[in-house]
Amino acid sequence: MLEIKNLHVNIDGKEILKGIDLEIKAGETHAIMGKNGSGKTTLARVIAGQKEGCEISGQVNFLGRNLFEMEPEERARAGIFLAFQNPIEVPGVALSSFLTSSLNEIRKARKELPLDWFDFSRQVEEKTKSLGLKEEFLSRGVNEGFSGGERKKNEIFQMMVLQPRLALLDEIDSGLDIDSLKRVAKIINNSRKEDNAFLMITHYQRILNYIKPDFVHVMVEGRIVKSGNSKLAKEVEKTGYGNFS
Amino acid sequence: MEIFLKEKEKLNYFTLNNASTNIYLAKESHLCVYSFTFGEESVKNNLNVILEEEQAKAELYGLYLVSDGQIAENNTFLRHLAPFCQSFQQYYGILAGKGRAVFNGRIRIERKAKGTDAYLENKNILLSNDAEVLGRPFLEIFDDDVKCTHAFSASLLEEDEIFYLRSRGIDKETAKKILLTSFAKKIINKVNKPSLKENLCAKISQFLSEKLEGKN
Repeated sequence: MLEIKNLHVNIDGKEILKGIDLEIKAGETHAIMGKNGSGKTTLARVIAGQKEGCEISGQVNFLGRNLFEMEPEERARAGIFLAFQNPIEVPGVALSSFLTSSLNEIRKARKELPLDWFDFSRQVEEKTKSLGLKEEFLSRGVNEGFSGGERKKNEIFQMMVLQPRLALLDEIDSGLDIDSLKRVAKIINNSRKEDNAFLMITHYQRILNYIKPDFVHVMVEGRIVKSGNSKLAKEVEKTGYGNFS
Repeated sequence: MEIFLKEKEKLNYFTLNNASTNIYLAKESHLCVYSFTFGEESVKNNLNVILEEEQAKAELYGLYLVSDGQIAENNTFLRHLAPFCQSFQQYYGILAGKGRAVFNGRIRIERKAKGTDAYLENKNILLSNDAEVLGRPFLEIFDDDVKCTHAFSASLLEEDEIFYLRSRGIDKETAKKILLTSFAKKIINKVNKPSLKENLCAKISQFLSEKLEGKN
């Protein structure tokens, strides 16, 4: 589904990604673990379409298409979703209308008919309950007045509505208490299917106790230095990142 | 133009462009003033609000959209003459192309105006590097027991915000329009009449469609 070959990214003249190779097949869940500053978020944002201030070289294919020929909105419509590490606030833009527009753009790309507000409301009611979010948050501005943890839940809520082919979850566990973490993990596990894939980016091993990845990659200073199965995550937890380079 | 509010009187007032207006507030009166400038010829608005008696309240809202060859100049002067009065000013601007704006916000709090609560905010979004805005708050405070806050900002649209919307499938131009409309709505939502709000939103939409087209 996603093929990354020798990806190099410089931001403002500084080399952040130094030759990343990664392949994610449909049905797989991968985890990338690394310290702050290792380049994990840059990797996620570049896949999602960030170009500002970046010099990018290498090859990235998504479902057989050259990702670098696609604008961020085209990538979203093709089925890429990024749950941001620090989701921003967009007050004055109601989440419901924002998400309806977004969903309908994606449905249009899939040659499906758009949903109207009524159909949309029915679909989302259950989803808000499963995350423990109050329904009134739909009429508020996107992330308006939300705590960090609530913003993360909102990212997962959007993922549930948009049903991407490839979900990039950047530190989805940060800011969540244990109950919320369990809810979010349950939702992600229930979303794992044969035709979609997940890339979880995390600093800590904790979330991987709840969402067991098929593959784990350790990232140090812009490179993937080791890959393995879920046991690798336990190894990192035990020894820290210092042993890998 | 001179307007006098009587004791406990409430008034919603929309200024005309290129007018000089003086508004006097009596005890416990409540004024809401709106100034809208949408892509017209250059305008200069002078608005003086004098809070003469205690517990009067003045809210001033302004929104200006300017483009090439246009200058929007808004000058406000809030005079606090009596105790426990409140003044609240929010002027927002969107500047396209080589548009220019000037905002002079003067607040004077006299010695007998203890317990004053004054707030002044001027926020601008510049759609190009050629746009220019000049914001000048000018505060004269003669009493210690007052609260007076002022804030000024001028920035381009936030790339992070645009990227967030694009990452959800919304194209660049629509994302910019959504963000600019939500910015302008912060002022428009202060207007109480729904029909007027709709009218204003339509004007903003038209301005943005014209000015964002063909730009990166």
